[in-house]
Amino acid sequence: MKISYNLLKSLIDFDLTPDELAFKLTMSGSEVENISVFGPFDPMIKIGLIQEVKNLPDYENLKLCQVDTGGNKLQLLSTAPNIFEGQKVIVAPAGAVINGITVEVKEFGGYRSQGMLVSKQELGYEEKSATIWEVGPNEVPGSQVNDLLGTDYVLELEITPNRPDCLCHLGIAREVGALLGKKLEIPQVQLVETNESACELYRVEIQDPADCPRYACRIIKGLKVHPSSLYLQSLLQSLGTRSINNVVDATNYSNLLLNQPMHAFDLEKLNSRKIIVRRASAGEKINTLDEVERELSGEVLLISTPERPVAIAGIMGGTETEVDSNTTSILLESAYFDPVRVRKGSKFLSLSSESSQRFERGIDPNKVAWAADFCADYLVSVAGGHVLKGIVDHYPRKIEPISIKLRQSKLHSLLGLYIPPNRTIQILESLGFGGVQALGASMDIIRCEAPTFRPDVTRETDLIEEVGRIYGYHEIEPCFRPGGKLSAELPEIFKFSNRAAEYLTNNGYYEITTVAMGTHEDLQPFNPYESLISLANPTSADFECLRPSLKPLMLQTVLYNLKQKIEDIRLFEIGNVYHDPGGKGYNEPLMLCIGICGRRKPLGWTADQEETDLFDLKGDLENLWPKLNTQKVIFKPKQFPFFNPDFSLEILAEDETVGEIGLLSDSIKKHFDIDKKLFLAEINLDKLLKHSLKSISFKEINRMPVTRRDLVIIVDENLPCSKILEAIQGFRGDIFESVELFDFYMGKNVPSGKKSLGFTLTYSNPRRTLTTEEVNDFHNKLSDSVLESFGGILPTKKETM
Amino acid sequence: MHNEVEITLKEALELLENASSESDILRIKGVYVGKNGKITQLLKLIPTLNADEKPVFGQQVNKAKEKIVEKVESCLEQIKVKRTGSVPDQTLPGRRNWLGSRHPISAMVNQIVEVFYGMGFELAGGPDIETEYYNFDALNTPADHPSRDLNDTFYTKNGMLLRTQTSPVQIRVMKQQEPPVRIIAPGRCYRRDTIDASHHILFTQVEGLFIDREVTLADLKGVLTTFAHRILGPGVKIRFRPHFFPFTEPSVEYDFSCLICQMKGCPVCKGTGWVEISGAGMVDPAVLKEVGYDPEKWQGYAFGMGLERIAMLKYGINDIRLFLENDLRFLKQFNF
Repeated sequence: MKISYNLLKSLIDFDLTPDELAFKLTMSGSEVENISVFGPFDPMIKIGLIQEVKNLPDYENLKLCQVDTGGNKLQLLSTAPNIFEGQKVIVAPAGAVINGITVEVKEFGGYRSQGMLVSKQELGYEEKSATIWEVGPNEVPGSQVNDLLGTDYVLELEITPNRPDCLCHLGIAREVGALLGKKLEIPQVQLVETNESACELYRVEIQDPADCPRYACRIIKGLKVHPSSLYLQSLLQSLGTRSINNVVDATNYSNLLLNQPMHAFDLEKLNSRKIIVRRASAGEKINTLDEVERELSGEVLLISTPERPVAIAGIMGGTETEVDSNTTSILLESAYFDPVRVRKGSKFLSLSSESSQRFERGIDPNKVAWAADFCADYLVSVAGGHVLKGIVDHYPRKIEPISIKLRQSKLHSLLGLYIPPNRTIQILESLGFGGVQALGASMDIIRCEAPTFRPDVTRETDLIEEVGRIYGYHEIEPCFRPGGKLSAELPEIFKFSNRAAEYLTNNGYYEITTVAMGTHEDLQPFNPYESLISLANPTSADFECLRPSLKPLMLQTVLYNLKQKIEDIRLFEIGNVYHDPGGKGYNEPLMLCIGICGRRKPLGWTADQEETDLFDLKGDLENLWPKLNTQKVIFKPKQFPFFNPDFSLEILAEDETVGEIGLLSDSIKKHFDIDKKLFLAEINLDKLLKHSLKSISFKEINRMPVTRRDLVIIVDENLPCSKILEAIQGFRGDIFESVELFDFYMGKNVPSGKKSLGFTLTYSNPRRTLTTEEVNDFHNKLSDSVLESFGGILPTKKETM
Repeated sequence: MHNEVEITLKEALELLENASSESDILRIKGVYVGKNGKITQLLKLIPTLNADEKPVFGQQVNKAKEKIVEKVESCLEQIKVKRTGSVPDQTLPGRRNWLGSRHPISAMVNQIVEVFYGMGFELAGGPDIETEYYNFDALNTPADHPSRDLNDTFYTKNGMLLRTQTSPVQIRVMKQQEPPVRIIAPGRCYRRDTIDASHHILFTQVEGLFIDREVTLADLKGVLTTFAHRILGPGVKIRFRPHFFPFTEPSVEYDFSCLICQMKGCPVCKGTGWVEISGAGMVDPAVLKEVGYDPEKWQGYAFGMGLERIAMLKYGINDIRLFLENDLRFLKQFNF
């Protein structure tokens, strides 16, 4: 909403600069986003009268004009298409300065041009002008533009959707009044009417008062349509409304002043004495003012004569009854249409207008007739003519103001701010609330009526906001008081995932967050379920489905960084994925995804420069489990379509599958255009949490001496090491403590198709010291058992140390 | 006698000096200080000495033993260095491991949770895929409110939606729990915005809610002031501007004083000295009624905040898209 500083000042007296005004409005809820300045203008720029126009035969489009600028005659050259003799225009003679540029005498083809004809663009009133600025016939040649316009400031306000009353100058003037402790005086209208009665000649029929609670019109005859005065044109243009002609401009001016959209029908073209407000029938058509033929439906409310539709109610007029330069009589419509009806019609037609936006938010039903009178009065002043007696006004059921009570105690308790009752009353009155009075001796209860231009105020709490915002929220002192009981613990999953993240960041991983969406093609290979959750209205094909796994987004991130020539990548993401198990609603488990590629260690002088592999990632996870205190987590080979078959394992915690780890398969690599070895793991943190113990229970330290023995065996290369480890750990006996794999070897000295595995076994018993014989005996038994179960052999030659 | 110790020591050190492999060094170690090593053997001579010589000789032998062990260790270390082919130089950079860090938004979530947890707020959450009821209806949003539009909100094909705010968590918590309620709820939200430097379809919000018998707008100002001071710095000022939201009345937008220019005026604050943060207000009685709380007995405030916006302000980040691009050159700047 744009507000003219000068026009506002004509409605309410205030002593604030535009900046001060903007600050006050912003702090009371109407945020000022921008202030623009119009004028001042060079006094040399004047109104001119075109006395003669000559086309120059040698130069297409170029015209030679003789212009009277109040006694002075100037010869000007112009290419403007809309020049004619007798036209009033704006002239900048040579020497005048426009936008910092001095106009100069120019010669062209032997003709001298002593200045220029000015457009709205040049004076800042239009973005781009194709024609010169034609002003109304009443302007006097020689008048200075600066005298007519002066300097004005236009404030651009962001009006919240609950405040339709602030969509006009009168509404903002009321706000300013309230802020300054003044009451706004509503302009009075004293209309001069003829004896001819409008009410006897014209009838209005409203098919359903729910669609149109009020419809009023005035008839004006004998007027003359022409361009508006320079003042009115510049005012409308500066407020973002295109100037059309004096009649249309007068309705728009009234609207910007009072927030009552009005429409003028050409009475002769209307050719009917009956106006019907009715729903359109399906398939019915109308040509609207924007020169589009529109097909209608039962959603759309129409203004119609018995013969044909003439306007779409509250949205846009029709071309057939449009006011043009030959119009002499009009029917001026002022109505209150149902906001929902206008919104539905506007939505159906995909047509939104200045007028429809106002009706949708809600205007004041009780100012409809007054606004029509105001506009009729203004029309006569700018277009001449006379107003017929009486107003045709259909308002079957008056919309009454609502009475509301406000408790001072509640106001105090909600805002944490004490406002004296007298101040409360004053604020409400200055905002236009009626019958404001305090009840009872304590004045705790204040009763008032919410005006019908404030559909947003219906309850006590709404009144509290009104009083509070005018009094000023800056008056509220921040309150620091301790709350009630302190809360319980943070949620387990929050702490759990934070612990995992902390471990990973301390071990060289960066956390990422990704858009949780992707294409069906990218996401589906990672979906554990049949279907993805797709959006009905995605913004682009890239974001058509919700992620069922963090992997595809991890792949995109890795690819992005590879493209930036970053080669060593260690990333993780913790986030929800979205599953549709089919029929039972959606699940949003919290997942952890890790991806690594590149070097094992940072580039350096001693480091192991090998490429990272599965066992780096696996090792980091094996250390993560104790950090999370999870129980019995193991890796078990299992095929996944997105992993390379040789490096593809599932992760189980106490026999429940909680995730998977592996090397990205070649086909997926190709699909995502990644040409490096990438290892991935994804773990369901919700599931893993169930296998995490919340506490640690201390076990007595075994202070007895330990004895270590090595076991090196050669087995088939396809035999999983995990099986041997399991067998060793499962060997019965009370002296076995632990086992570690210390060596893995294939190659020289080991037969082909075989591998050599070296284990260190630790023996101890917490209650006694073991004898060498006892340990040897046990170790031999264990070794024999392992060799037998797995068909292993001992190395032929033992290495010496 | 004493001489013999010295000679043996010298001999051992010389041998070690010339040893070229780990196994040689270990063998030499065995020969001199092993169970039957030359130095160890010398100790067996102690009983043959007279009383005042005994301790002196013992000490000498032990010292020699220590020197040999020390030499063995340094030789082993040198062999190791030689094996890597490098020249020992203590000014070489250390052996570093990879560095990692949290994403700036996760770090921000944790900081905010910590601040509010300290003020007695519990942590709450809700699903990202919401129903229209929780995201709009229960929050007093009119049936034809533009925010419900297909242009503004993502809907799934079966009529669910991606929450556009964390406010539905308010409803979920209040429906489950009797007042008083004091929660914060961080989470991802989605809006159908056109992606540019200051908008994305995904953003992170933190919702706050406090319902009790005497909670006021002044308490809200206090809590947000504390938050601003803890997260952005003790000098940050806060102001309320009246605004409109369907689920709060009175509603405000809150601004923080501009950190970039210290309120002198800059492009970030558009010359005003204040930066708009988010919306807040007193929970609308219609919302309280919806969850079954009596608005005559209970009242309170709710607030929201966009974390990307706060992080941008705190670190001077000028493009919201950086948060989701995950460029390591960006992520590596947040190693706190």
